[in-house]
Amino acid sequence: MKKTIRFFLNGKLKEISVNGETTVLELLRSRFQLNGIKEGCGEGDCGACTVVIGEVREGKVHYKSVAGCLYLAAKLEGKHLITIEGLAQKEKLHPIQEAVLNAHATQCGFCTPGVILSILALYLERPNPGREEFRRYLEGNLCRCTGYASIRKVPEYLKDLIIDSEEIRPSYLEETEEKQLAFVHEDIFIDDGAHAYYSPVSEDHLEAFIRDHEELVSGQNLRFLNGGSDVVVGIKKRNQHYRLLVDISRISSLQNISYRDNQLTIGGGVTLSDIIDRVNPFFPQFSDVVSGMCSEQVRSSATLAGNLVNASPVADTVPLLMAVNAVVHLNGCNGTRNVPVREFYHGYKQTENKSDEWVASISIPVGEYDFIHFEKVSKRKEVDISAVNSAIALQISEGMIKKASIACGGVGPTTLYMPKTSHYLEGKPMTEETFLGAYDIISGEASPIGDVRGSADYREAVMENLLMKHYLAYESSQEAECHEE
Amino acid sequence: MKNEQIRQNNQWGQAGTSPLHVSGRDHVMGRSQFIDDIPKPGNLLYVKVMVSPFANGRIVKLDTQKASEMPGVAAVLTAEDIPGENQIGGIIKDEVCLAQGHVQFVGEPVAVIAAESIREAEAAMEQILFEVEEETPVLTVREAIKRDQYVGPVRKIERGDVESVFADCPCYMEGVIRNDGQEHFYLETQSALAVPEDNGGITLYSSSQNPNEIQKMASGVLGLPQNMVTVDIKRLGGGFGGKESQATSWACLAALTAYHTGQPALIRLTRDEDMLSTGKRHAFESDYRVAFDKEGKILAYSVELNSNCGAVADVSTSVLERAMLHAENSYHIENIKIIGRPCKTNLHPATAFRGFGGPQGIFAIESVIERIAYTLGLDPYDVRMKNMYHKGDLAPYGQEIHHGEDIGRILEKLRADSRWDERKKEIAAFNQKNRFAKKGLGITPVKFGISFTAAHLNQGSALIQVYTDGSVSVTHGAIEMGQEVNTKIAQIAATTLGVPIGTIRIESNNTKRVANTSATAASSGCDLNGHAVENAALKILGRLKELVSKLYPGEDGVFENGYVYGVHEGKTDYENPLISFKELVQKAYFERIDLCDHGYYATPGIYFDRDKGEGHPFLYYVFGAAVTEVTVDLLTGRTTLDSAHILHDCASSINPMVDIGQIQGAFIQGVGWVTTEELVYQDKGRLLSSSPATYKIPTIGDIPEEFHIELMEGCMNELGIKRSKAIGEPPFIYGESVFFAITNALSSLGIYPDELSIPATPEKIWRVIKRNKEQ
Repeated sequence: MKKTIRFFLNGKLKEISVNGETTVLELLRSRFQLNGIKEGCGEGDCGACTVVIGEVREGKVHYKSVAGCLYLAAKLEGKHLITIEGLAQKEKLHPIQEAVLNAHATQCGFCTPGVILSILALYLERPNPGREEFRRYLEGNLCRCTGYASIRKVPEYLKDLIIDSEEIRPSYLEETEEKQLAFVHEDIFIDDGAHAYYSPVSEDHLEAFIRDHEELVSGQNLRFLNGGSDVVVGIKKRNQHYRLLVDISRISSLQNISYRDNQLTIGGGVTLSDIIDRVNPFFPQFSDVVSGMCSEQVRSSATLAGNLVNASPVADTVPLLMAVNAVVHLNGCNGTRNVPVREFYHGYKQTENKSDEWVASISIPVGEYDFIHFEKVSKRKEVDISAVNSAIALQISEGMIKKASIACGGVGPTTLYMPKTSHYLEGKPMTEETFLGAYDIISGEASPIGDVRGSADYREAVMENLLMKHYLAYESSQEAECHEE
Repeated sequence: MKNEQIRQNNQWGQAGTSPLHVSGRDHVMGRSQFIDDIPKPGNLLYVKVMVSPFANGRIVKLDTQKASEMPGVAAVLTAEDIPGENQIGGIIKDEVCLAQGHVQFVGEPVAVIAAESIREAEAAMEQILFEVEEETPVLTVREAIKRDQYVGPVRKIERGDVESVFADCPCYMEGVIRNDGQEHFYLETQSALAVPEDNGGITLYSSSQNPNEIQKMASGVLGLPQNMVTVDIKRLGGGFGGKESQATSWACLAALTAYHTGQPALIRLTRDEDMLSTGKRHAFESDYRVAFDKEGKILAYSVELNSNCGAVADVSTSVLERAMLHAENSYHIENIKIIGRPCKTNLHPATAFRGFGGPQGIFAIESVIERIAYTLGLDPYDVRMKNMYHKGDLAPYGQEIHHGEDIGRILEKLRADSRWDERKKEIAAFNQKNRFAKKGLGITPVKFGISFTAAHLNQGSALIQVYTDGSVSVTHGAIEMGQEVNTKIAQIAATTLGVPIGTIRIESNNTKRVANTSATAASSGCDLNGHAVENAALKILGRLKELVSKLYPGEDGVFENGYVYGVHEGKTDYENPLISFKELVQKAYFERIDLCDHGYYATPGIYFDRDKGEGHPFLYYVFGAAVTEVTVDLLTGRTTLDSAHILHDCASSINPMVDIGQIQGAFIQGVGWVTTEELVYQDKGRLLSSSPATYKIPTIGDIPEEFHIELMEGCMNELGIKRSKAIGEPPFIYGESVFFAITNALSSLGIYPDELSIPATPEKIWRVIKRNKEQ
């Protein structure tokens, strides 16, 4: 097992020693004095620390933006880290840099490197992005100076500057990609006696490691992560340390998405970003749910598994998964277990998985329901944690609800499946009255509390009103269908 | 000039064109240095600040013994270690640098820990024994008023006789108007680096809008004369007022550490620390009374503006002053009485924030106008035009609203451009058909006075060196924080000297090169310091012109774009330059003509008697207006901003693209203030929403698809630098139009949402809807 991290930095090979808790932000600023990356918040919410990571997936190098304050340096093994310093060639600006300059899209300059790198990640993956894709990639970059209008114009200026989409690619990419494809991956294990980091290349290695290192994995010592977008915030801001962090992101068996026999199976290591595009053909409603979560810098490494296991009562993926009765497949040294999402939560932040079990996959039944819808309510439209969220799945036949399933988050210590409300809807006509009638039932199934994101009575009212929002969404989907016909 | 027309080829960067950001290349390359990017010396100490977790109480125990013995710790300092004066109050001397005897707000600095690493400093901080006998904190304006607790005097501005009008008027209303504070959320948090010099002096690199105040306060705290303290500031990663006085603590604490240890010391607050400790925009809770007639004309207006100032005065008295001086906004109100109370509470000291009380004072009268319009069933646009200033009108404090006719011109043009009347009909039709969503339209005109209301602050300085190769170094008294004052000043220097902007280099603001400067605030940075730069440049130019006359007798030298041209037959002869600037400068050097000069400017003719509430405090006013449209989801309370139309008066813009960028940024910041940015405190005075996870500023997804900004033509500013007008603050207030679009949408439900306050969050909107249903 390796103790050092080998990676590419702006096209150059590096080999470094880090401890398991060092982030890319800390590495770049303290170790390499590459100060283009900034700390704006230290918790993945502002984008000032955005960098680009190139990683091999399915035989090709893909690029993504990540939050440097959350991305552990140890994860860099075999990857290509591109920083703002890697764009200009001596004094010749990269086209994105020039476009930002020409568009007057920089004022104080503090958010600028992050903005440029988010745009780079976008263009490296999608050569001709539309307005919507641009927003998706930039929504995690906060700017307090420009009001974003000039940033939004950057693609226009970029179009003027580049003739060939190849010009977006820094000159050293080709060579580095070759090296990355030839890179031999082995397990990484770093331990400074207080905090350890382990990144296996297979589930077999993982199992063997757990058996051999009981002292590191017992009790609350062990925490799994892929992106670590909440685990790392816990480490840096809430003094929540672990004896051992196990990074599952290099296990290829956990990165599959498959669709067979009306079952969509998403591996435990599949990122939210991947889900948006790859799941869309099979389950577009779920794809929509994920699009409304966090920012691209976080989605690119965060996983569905992580959202489930992190067990926030307002986790955005959980209501829909509960509604359609998805199942979590856990792997561990003692074998495999299947746990329905509806049975996964036992209390606030208490999940069914034992600390030495990991999520192998989540299987989601598809096609059972005619209408599936999710709503989240938060103060700000993008990149905001929900105050309340709600998902509904309905089987409708001749205007009657045959089967109903509803789950809500933000109204209890866990996401709540609402059996009484679901049952109430069944057998009733698909009308406004039915849904208004369900208000009293649903309010009996949850007692929300107040916190910094919303007071108790607001949450209760929104939980009820989201029933109506579901109905209205159904109505407009029917109208849309009519227009199409 | 419409947006689309402003894609000019910038020739040599002269005033009126839009050359690119002078630091733009460095920004996009990521090589612009902020405080934490300055190369760190090997013996650097990292400083953590221990702050009070209590809002009010007597310090019973502060024991740092154990902490100072922890590994890696160089010093642990408290108020007792201050060699000079433990006082950093700017206007009023009521603010200590480190708590002494008692604490008065959560986040107040109590001790500093300097260690070889942040981790070691944090570990040592946990070993400090700190006990406080807690007292009940005063947190609200009402409580402070009950106890007669203020940070400064209660003030009044009055004209006419409101009481006799109230006694006998056709229509009357009274009520309360509230706005919460706002967090600046500059992307670069508060930071300072203190480096001891070899002669007992100290150099401070501070992320501050106010180098002069840093110098004064640090020298006071250290007991050193000001000439031993040098402050050097290159740029800020955002300021917005949050670093006008709130940067002082951190710079002084870094200086104190360097003084005691003899080592360089760095403070960089984390986002949470910054949000917890530093002051925010003043929350106001204002009581109004208004008399009006059936046509919507205001006959008398009385408003008591009560600001929540936090525990110390900071700049609160000036903020309140500006709020009072903008209480009437764009309206001519004959009978008016404005009272201002700066309330003292146990919260972090409220401070400067873009608009500086102006937005709050304006919000009150705009709210009143909306309520009048609703009550009478009149169009809010009509009511505003009915009350607006005309040419020759006087403000309540006596100043004539010079160019006041521009208010009407702007309102008329915007009404047409934004299709106000058609939109109203479209919205009414939409609202008729939709039960679960309502649209609304809002209009906010702005009249914003330019100059510091403290007259003595209206001064600017500059230093220009022309080197013998023709390159130019300019230092000026303003601070670059993204507003591109550096670009504009480079343009002014370039235009005046007649050289391409590329030959001008703007240096850091350094107290050894420009002294006794005012904060970069009040939107005045470019006005005051641009004039000073022009002053210096003209002096140098004058001497060069004399040399031209000597070298080319009979020729009038026209200096443009790096060359000197003659004037023949009334036209500048561009074909045959007389000499290049560079060559002329070379000759000047050998002729022993001074190629350098200092410039200075003091705004003429302004004064304000705050005891009488009378004077001529502003050199000029900036005018403009915005119309916005929103959709409110009645089921969740969420608002979508559908479109924004802004018409703004820049007079002769020095750099149109920069000004438009300022309008865009200020407007969106205003939108954040009135919609999603909510400061949530717990009942003991601690800020709960202390991170971007809970405090939400606008993202790229929040800006409307339809976002029009136009610079109004035909506006004049005779005394402005290059005839331009200040830009920083006025456009922030356009954000209020979104609030009124929301109240407009909600009032279509049948009741005016009187109780809705800034920010109009989804939850608060939902409460209005709920209350509507119950009534």
